[in-house]
Amino acid sequence: MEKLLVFGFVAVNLVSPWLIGELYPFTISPMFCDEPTQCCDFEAFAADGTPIPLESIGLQRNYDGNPVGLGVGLVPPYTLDQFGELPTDEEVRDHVEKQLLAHPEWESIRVVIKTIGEIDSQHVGVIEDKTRVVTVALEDINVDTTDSSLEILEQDESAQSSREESLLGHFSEVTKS
Amino acid sequence: MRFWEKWFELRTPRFGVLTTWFFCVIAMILASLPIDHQVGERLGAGSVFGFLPVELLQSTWLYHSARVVLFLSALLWACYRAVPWSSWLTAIAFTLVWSLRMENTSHAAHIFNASNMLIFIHAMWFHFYRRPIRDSIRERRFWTSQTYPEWVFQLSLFYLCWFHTWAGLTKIQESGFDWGNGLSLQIWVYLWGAKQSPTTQLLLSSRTLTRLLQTGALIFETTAILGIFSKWFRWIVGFNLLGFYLGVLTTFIGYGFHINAILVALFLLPTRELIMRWEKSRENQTSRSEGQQIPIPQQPAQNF
Repeated sequence: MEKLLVFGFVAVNLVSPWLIGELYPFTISPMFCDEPTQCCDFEAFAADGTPIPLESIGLQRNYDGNPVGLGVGLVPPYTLDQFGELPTDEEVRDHVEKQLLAHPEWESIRVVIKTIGEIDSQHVGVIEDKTRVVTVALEDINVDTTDSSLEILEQDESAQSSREESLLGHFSEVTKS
Repeated sequence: MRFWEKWFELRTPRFGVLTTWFFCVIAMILASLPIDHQVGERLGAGSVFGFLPVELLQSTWLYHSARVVLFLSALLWACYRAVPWSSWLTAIAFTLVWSLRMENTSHAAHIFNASNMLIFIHAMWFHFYRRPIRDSIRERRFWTSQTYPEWVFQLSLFYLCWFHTWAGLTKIQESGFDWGNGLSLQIWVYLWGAKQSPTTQLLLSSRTLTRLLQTGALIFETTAILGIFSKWFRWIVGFNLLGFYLGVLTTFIGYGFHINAILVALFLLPTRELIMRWEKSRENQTSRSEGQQIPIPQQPAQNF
């Protein structure tokens, strides 16, 4: 029995990365396995210059070095931020418009998008000439009802879920390959 | 002799007791962490307890009960009470507490996986050797008794090496051999490094240096499994991994890799060899003072 458990422990742990993958306490140790070359940092402000918490408008960074959504029980909160990718101005504008409709307490939202990446051959930092500002005012948004905006938000969240499922599927393939 | 036959040789238990007490302390620390259940849409199983009904997974009552059981069982185990029930309860409650945390969060953390697996190994030790351990305690010869099977150390070593090898393999699988290009590490350090830390400043000052360190970390992580075949390689990997952890801990202050760093120091560095050497010198001193012939010291187990 003793030998069985000892060699069983070895056997289970040898095959677990392929057969079980990321399921606590089993793990494929995926911390910092990606290779970002740039990322963006959001700041958001109301019309009067008050900072807006990024979590409240889906611009927070979910990524913390671990692949988002891997090995956890809950869907990560919705965000536009996909670490390592830079959204276009249009994508930010579309996203903020939907958020603004869901948060009519703000007249407008100004988003500063800073790009963090290589500034020379030895250093990283904010690439100043890539910093962008997108401002969206509630009065400029052309929609009929708030309900439709919520529908758009729901669609967006479902798109986020699909992206996460795709990521999980990718890691599942990694562990099986 | 086949290499695995050496796994069932017996040693004195001092090193095993040290590591067991360490795990009991870790278990009590985990039991003391406050509840951090988030609310959100269910994604799927994040742990081996993910099969439980959602109501149970989200139950604060279950979480707090598991914490209490974990704390008490770890305390009992550390005092060698109610063994092997206390050791198995510690292992199961430890898994349950952190599993419930992973089931109720959207942010993963890999700070307890290694401890969890090594606690299981130590629980197995106390299960299979409970009688000789109990007898040696009753006869007041516990510290000199041969009650620590070599497989406890070798399994722990195997798991730690395999854990780090997979960290390297996942990086290569996901990003290729160019993972250690220095740029990604500088971005992570820029975002999350403690601004006042000297290592943060150092890593941000030179990509050449960062590339060297990142590539070195990838090499030593990926080849860590070779540490089970050679004592010298184990020490080399151990020193480098410990250096890597010290770099991580002094740069990313909020990241909880302290336990993994201590585990590397305990099992991959010559910690056990030092304890065995100290035991031998103590034994020799005792023999001399009693005017007895100095016994030939037992050879430490060779790595297979």
